[in-house]
Amino acid sequence: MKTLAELAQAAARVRAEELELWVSEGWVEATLVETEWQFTEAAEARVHLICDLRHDMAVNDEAIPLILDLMDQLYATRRQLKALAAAVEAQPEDIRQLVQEAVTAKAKSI
Amino acid sequence: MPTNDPYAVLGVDRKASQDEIRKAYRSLSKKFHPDLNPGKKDAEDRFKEVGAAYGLLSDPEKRARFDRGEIDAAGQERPSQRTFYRQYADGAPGGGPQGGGPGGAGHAQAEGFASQEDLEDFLGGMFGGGGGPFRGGPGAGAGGAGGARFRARGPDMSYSLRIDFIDAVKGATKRITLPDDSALDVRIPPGTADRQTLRLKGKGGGGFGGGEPGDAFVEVHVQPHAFFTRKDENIHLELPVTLKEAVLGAKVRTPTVDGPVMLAVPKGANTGDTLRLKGKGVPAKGDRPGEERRGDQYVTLKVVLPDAPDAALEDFCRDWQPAEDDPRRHMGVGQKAGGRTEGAA
Repeated sequence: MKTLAELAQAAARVRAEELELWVSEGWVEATLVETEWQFTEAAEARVHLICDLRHDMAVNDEAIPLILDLMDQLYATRRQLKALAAAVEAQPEDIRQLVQEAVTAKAKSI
Repeated sequence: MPTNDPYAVLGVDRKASQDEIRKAYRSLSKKFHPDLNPGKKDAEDRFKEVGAAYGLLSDPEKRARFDRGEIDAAGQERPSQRTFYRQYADGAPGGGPQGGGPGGAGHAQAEGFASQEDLEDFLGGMFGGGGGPFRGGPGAGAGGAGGARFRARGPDMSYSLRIDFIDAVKGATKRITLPDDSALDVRIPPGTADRQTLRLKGKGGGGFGGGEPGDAFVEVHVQPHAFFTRKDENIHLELPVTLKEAVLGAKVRTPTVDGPVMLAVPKGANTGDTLRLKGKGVPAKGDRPGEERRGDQYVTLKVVLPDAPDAALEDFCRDWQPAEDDPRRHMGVGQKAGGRTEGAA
C-alpha cells in the first residue's frame, strides 16, 4: 500500500493533484484510511498504465476512461473465460473432447 | 542482429527525423503495451524493446554516439522492475482489483492458472493451435503447427487446513471445499505435525490437452488441545488428583488420545511426579522402513484440595502433627515467628 504522496513520488510522471482527480473520476481505485488515500500494488500498476497512455501514446484525457472501460471489460471476460476453461479441464476426457469438438465446429461458422 | 538495432526495432530509417521516431514509438507502444495485450506473451518483451530503442534514439546525443558506434543498443536498456497491470487484472490470486473477479476465496488460494500462458495455451489447444478462429477466421487454423495438441501439466494448488489435536495424532480424513465448490478429501496420516505440508499427487489443477494434473499442497495447522500438549512423539498431560488419592494411592481414570485408561497413582504421590503411559503417544515412522513406533504419554500429577472448604479436613489438620512440615526450608526462611504477616486478598 502506498499513500497518494508516496505514489506520486514513485510514479514521477503524475502529480498528486492529478492522482486525486483520477481517483474521483474512477480511473483508479483507492481506499480512504482516515484522511489518507491508500493505493494497492494493482492500483499502482494501473497508474503507470495511465501514465503510459497519456505520455508515451499521446492518448488525450477524454479517451482514457474509454480505454480503461474497454480494458476492464476485456479482463473481466478473460477471467470468466479462464474459469470456464478450468471448469472444462476438470471434466473427464470424453466430455472435454465433446466440448472441444463443439467449440471447433462453432468457431468455423463464425 | 535486428533486435539490437534500435532503428529496426522502431522500423524507421537511419535518417529518420525526431518526429518520425516519436511517431513510430507511439504507434508501437500502443500496439505492444502489455496491459492492452493480455493475451500476447511476448508483448512485454517487445514493449520494453521498443521503449529501450526509443530511449536511445529520442536522445540526440545518445543517438549520435550510437551512430558513431560508441555505444551499443543493449547498453542502453533501462533495467525495469516494473509490474504491469495485467498481472493483477488477469485473474491473478485475489481477483481483479477493478471490476472484481472470481479470485481466490477464503483460505484457499490458487497458485497456478494465474499466468496468462495457461489460458492462451489452453485456448490454443482447444482450437487446434495456430492462434484460433478469433484471429484468422475460418481456415486460419491450417497455419497452425500441424494441429498438434498442446499438452501441459496442470498447476499446483496450495491450501491450508485446520485440524483437531486428536485428528493430527491419530490420523483422519478431512474435506476441503474449494473455491469452485468442489471438494477435496485429504487423508491426514497419524502423527501429522503442526505446519506440516501434505502433498496430494494429482489433486491440483487439471492438465491441458490431456496433460497430467498438478499436485495439491495442504499445509496443516493443528489446533491446541484443552489439556493435552505434544512434544515430538510424546504427549504430556497434567492430571489433578485429590489429596486422598495422592496420600493413599489410587487407580484413577486418565484421558489419553485413545480414550480413558486406568492409571495407578502410587501411594505418597506428590505434585510434579510424572508417570508414563507407554505407547499412548504419537505414532511415528520407525528408523527402518515399515517399522512403526509410537511415543508415550507423560502424566504429571497435581495434588488439589477440594474446591469447597471441608470441615472434616480442617478438623483433621488441626489435630495433625506431621513429622516434617517445612517445605520452604531450602528457601532460607526459618520456622521462627517474626516478620510481618502479608495477607493476600
